[in-house]
Amino acid sequence: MPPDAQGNPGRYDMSVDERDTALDALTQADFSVSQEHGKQGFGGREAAFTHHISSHGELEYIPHALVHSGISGAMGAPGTAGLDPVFWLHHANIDRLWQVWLNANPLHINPTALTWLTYPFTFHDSSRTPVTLTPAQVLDTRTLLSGYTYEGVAPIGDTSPAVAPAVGINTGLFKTTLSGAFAHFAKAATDIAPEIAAATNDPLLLEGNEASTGLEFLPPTRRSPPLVATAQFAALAAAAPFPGLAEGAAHAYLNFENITGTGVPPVHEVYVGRKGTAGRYAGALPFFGIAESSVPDTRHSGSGQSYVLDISGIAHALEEEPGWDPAQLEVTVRPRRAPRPGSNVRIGRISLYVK
Amino acid sequence: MTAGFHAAAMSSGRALARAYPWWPAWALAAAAWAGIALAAADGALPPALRDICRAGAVGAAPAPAGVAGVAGVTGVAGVASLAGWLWMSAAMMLPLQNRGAEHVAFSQPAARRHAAIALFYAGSLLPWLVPGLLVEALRPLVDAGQQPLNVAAGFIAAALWVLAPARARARAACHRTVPLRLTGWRMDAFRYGALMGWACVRTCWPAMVALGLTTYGAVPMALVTAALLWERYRLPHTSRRLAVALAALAAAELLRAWI
Repeated sequence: MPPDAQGNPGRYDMSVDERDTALDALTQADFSVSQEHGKQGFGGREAAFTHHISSHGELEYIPHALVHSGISGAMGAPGTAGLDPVFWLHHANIDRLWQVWLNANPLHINPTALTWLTYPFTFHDSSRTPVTLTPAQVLDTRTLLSGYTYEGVAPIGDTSPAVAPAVGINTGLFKTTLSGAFAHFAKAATDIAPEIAAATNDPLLLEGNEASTGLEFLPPTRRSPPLVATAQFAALAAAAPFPGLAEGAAHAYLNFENITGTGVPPVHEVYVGRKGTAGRYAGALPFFGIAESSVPDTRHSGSGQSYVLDISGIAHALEEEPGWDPAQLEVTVRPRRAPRPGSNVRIGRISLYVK
Repeated sequence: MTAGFHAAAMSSGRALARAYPWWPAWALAAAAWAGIALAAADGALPPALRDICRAGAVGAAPAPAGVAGVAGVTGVAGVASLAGWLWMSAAMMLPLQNRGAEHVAFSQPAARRHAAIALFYAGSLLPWLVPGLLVEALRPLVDAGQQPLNVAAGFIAAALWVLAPARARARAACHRTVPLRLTGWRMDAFRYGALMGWACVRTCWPAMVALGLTTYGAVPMALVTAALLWERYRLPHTSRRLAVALAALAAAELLRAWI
């Protein structure tokens, strides 16, 4: 890849947007979650022993993917990212943040499921020989290579988790413990998944310019009845009602589902607000690795990518505006820079989930 | 106190049913397996039901006369044969579709969740008619007298298929998701089910056809099902251990015949 005017190997930006390095991931209570449309946990969604989950954990999303796509050039695609020296600094920092999260609270623990611990990842060593490593082999950095630890891994901010992390149920084919099973099911019974309130009916194509769309809201009678018998939901409903957006909802999540595309698209910013207004900044979509996730092969299902943005604060603010009507909700997606030729993005569905 | 416990249990039950939306399909598969077990215990079922089970290669005895052959598919016995095949497919394949069922369930509001999942599972069974017709076409060509060799050859072919790149692509496709609309959700759920069912056919057809052609019995079906579940939910996508398991089944069958 040719260097740019400053002699850097194909970088588009030498600085990263401050919002793309937020450390909200460190406030996640759980490493992994089972839910698809709400918070994704520190590390990402649980998957049956596969590599095909297209959603992102909070750390993988910010700062990992957004820094990749923000710098772009070689860093903008998984297949070439390692060619840029900053890749190694970036990933060492991601590794360090993992340790910061672990140090933040005794309830912050890595998954114990055998499927997670023994999942094989293939790398290449210095002689280009394929090497397979599992998470269990790399969890303790003191035993890796010549052994190393990170400086600056003190906890950041208030990271008290609200609930205890889930206990892995599948610690082995014949090692499922009764207590583990009970803990797993107990968490499933109390951890209510967000419910859909609105969605687009047509895909949204991003062709280099700003694109906006409204969401079709389900009529109130078609929205999911709240699980009033569940204490957690009742408490949430009592604590923070959203009378207009979705009765009883305390959290609102904007989902971008089945995003497919080609090339290395630029980062796109997402704004949410009333139709015809500039809207409020809700987050950014990095699309890092979108081309790879869009093509079915032996490692990818072709489903594309998914992102979840927590827009609870924006939803609360909109609720307080006089004359607010959910039908006025508009989502705008805006590229940060002009796309390179050959890159395009198709968002399969944008949906609003509430909890 | 009792009322409170009952309410808590009901609440937890509803929440669990919500968290694991694929449970009705597992219940249906369990019922199908109960039928298969009854059919295997010869005489425990009414004759008509037993014939259907046998036609789907789930009974211990060969299929009844008139069922075999493409010509039979057009008759009542042929319909029964295909129904038996779908019965077998439901028992073995529905539990493999958890990922798709979750996607459908949480893409739609709870009020229509069960209907959407039912359409998804119905769609996922539809593509199994293709290998079902293939089985009916091939059945006259299979020499029933060479049952152990047929079974072993079928399992060896299935083991070799596990090693093929095309099969790895098909297995990856079993985790596909697609956007599901709020308007037009019925057709989307059914179509998505058919898409996932076709991925399942591409992944599992050699083992299923081998079982279908051999009218072999419930035990190998159960073993193959267990192996497929093990692969889907416990083995990494790079694993080829299923090939070893299927080859072992072939060896066991040959050994059993030899002894």
